[in-house]
Amino acid sequence: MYMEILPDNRLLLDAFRRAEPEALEIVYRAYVERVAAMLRRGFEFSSRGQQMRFSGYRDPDDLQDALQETFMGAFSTGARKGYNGLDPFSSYLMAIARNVVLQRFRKDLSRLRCFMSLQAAEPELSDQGSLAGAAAPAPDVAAGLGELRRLVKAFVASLTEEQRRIVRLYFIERLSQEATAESLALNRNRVRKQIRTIRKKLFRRIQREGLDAALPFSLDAIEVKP
Amino acid sequence: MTSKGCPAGCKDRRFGRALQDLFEGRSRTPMPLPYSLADHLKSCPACRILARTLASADRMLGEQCGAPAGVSPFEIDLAWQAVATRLKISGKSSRRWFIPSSFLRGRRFARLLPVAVGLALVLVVGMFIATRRTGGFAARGAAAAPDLQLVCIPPGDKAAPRPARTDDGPAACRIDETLGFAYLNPTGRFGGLALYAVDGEDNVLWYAPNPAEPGGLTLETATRPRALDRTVRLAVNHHPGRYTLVAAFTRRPIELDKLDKLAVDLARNRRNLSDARVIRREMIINGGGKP
Repeated sequence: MYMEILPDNRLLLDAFRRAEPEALEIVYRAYVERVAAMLRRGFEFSSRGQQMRFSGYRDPDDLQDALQETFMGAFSTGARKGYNGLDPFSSYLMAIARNVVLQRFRKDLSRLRCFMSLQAAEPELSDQGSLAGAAAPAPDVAAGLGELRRLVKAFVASLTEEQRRIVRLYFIERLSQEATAESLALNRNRVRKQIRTIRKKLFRRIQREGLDAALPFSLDAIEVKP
Repeated sequence: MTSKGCPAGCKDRRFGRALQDLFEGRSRTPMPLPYSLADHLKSCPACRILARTLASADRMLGEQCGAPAGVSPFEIDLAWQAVATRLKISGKSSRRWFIPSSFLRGRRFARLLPVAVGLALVLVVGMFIATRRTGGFAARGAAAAPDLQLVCIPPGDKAAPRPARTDDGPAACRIDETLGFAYLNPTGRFGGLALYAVDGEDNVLWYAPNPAEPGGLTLETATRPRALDRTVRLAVNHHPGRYTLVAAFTRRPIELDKLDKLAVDLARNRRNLSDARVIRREMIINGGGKP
């Protein structure tokens, strides 16, 4: 389903190694979804002889941070030059993503060691060796998400059939506006305007309902990082 | 939330506006902010809430349309902006790519890559020859003047692109072909290009700038033909017939929304832009067979 553009595209590979901005963006957009899928799905690994499983990030902030760290790492001078240009780039990238997760885990673990459970001397892993990406949402957050879901559902119901088709192609298949226009035999300008209009309307509706500022995430749930 | 897009609790409304722009698809490149949006999100709970809400809403929008759970376009753009800002990527390459990024994201890329590579070669060689011929679509007169070349790319992996020109008539491509472009900008005087065609019923078909370039299409100095990273599959929204192709070389890139009003006037020679060079060419789209 995903396309492997490196290392087969040698022009792109050369430009990537030179850190040409457009090449970096092409590589980013070609691989970001499969990296995100892996980070959400999780993976198994062994640590000190123990088989463990990272159950994936559920928290959007964690996913966002891990995505950024992965691509920052992959686009660093060392990583660009270190890629052998023979194996699929996705394998190389996934290895970087795994390292990012494990480094974050080790950092979290070292922080956790500063605290001691009154029941157990060591911090416990959930589900026998499973690293949970995030706990279940707090009741207020869950309620807020439910409210947001209802709003989006009503919003989608209000769209025209053409708008829904555009959303389906653009949001689901991640097609470019040009490709979306081609698929629907529409004028590209019309697709551009429709996509912008749809998202603008959704933003306005979120604003109008006051979900942008107060819900669905309470301030307590937001970690303020230094 | 204020009406300007700034979440309550955030003192700098530019960040709220940047998030809104990103959500609405108005910008994918780093914006002129006092410091990076990613850094701001780490220190501003209000904007962080807004970003999370928009990410969730975007995901839900996909899910409501039957998409599997996944990262949303908003999150992809947000992460890219953070990466680009930290890597100090300006969003512009030092050299232009002739393969549109959209091809690389789609299944068509594998099929079109050999064509695109072939196109580059043909453009360089073909334009070099073409500019030395008289008539047709070659640059005429002043060597310092900008010019535009059209190329037809036949369907199929192994088909060779060819200059879209006839010996003594207007440029011509077949409806099943893809249209490609190359430009000359010898002095570098012209920084922008607006490119479109007008059909017999005054319908405007935009080629450049595209929606990803709201600020206009930027040109570089090109003493030799340089491929434009734009191709047009004619079958999508063209019909067999005669078109007027308009290439407006301007000092600065022209914003897309300002050009709509001028497009037909320029094509019909009813109005001209000062300090710009406007080239009009006749272009014929044939229904099939050899042009």
